[in-house]
Amino acid sequence: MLVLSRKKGETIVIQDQIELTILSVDGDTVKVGISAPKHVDIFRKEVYLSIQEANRESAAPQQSDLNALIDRLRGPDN
Amino acid sequence: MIIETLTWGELEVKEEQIYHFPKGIPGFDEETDFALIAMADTPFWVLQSVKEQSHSFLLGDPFAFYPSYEFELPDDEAEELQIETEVMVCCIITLKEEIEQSTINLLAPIVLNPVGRTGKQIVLHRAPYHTKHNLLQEQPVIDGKDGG
Repeated sequence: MLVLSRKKGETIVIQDQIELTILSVDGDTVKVGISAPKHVDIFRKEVYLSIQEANRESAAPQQSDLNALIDRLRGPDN
Repeated sequence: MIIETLTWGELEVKEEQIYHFPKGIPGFDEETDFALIAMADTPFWVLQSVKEQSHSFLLGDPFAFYPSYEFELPDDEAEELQIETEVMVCCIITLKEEIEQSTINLLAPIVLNPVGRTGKQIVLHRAPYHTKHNLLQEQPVIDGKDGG
């Protein structure tokens, strides 16, 4: 991991196309501005991890659970 | 083409059911081609990897379960998927043995371009949604800080 210090208003450039600017520092909260090409997805790491985890948990649904859900939605009349 | 599905075993799918996910989906980055198979008379689809039988997801129509669901598709996402007019939105369902425990992921919908047959799981920013909304009981959406 590359570790470096920046002051408010200073920028880091990654691969020519991605710029990270420190906008403000308030206690332990740092506000960061990121400029990147449109095709680059930027996420808060904890959100991305929660989506990965939800996807892994959702993969390969059990047929019995699926049938139970559909029966449940169709209601007792069918 | 014939693919191995988790739900129906061997199944013939048409070319127009195959969607390309250039970036895969989070947690399954290697899977870029999926068949979208509608389940007749239900608000569900199966998103089945054409390569890996166990990489199968149940998708639901979020508007059927959460009529107030809404988000703005960012321009860059629409551009990436080459969406012009037609768009389809489904959300991944996490099924549980206790049906009431099943959830739907409204924070990261699967957005599909039915014309170009491209797809992506997008992460909503500043949205009041999270990855686990109760499926069978619309919960009031509490403005949390879950948005990506």
